[in-house]
Amino acid sequence: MDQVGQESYGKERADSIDLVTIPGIHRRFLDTFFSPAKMNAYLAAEPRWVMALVLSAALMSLQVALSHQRFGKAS
Amino acid sequence: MREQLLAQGGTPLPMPDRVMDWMSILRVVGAALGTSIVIPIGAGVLTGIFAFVLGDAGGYRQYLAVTAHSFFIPALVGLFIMPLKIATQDPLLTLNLGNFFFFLPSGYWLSVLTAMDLTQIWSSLVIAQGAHCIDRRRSFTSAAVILLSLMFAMALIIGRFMPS
Repeated sequence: MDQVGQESYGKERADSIDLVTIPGIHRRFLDTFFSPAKMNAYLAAEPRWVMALVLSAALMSLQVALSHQRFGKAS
Repeated sequence: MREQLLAQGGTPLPMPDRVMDWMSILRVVGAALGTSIVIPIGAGVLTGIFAFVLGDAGGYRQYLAVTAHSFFIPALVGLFIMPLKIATQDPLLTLNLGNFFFFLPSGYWLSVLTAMDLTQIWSSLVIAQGAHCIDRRRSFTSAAVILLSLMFAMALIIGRFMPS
């Protein structure tokens, strides 16, 4: 590919990234299971991690709380 | 005193309710903190492997975002299999490769397969897809092979210490 072609490809790519609207955490949560390619494309364009970290930590805590409630005396 | 009583073969004293409540709170907070520490460390390892060692494009924040999202899988599936844990009265029950190889005699190789959790494998494949999206030169297959090989290497070590 020549220099001009590379530049136009780069500009096109940058424009497409600008147009990406990052969906909310609920949509990204669903996309992780049902459409990981789409979710990862969003994240590569704009890495958002805080809410995902908080939600993962909350889910793990809930798992431990339920497990402790049920098996707490045994463990 | 409790240890002395247990060493002498006596029945342990029941723990006060207040202590049990505190233990429960500590476990929940510990799980949240543990997750908040494990995810950034995992992202750091991925950045080290893909960006520094293999020379891919992409920074720590991108790998952190992918790792944090991929962690939804073990976290949610773990909640879904809670009824199965209750039904089988086994708090350590997981969905793993060992479930498919029930015909193997108990020993090292069954322990290795048991250490390979299916949700972790699914999560690794999502991370591999993320590595491909971060740098298009990195194919999904090569990223998946790298991550699954790492997981297998870990399972080979963990299998040594698991009771058969």
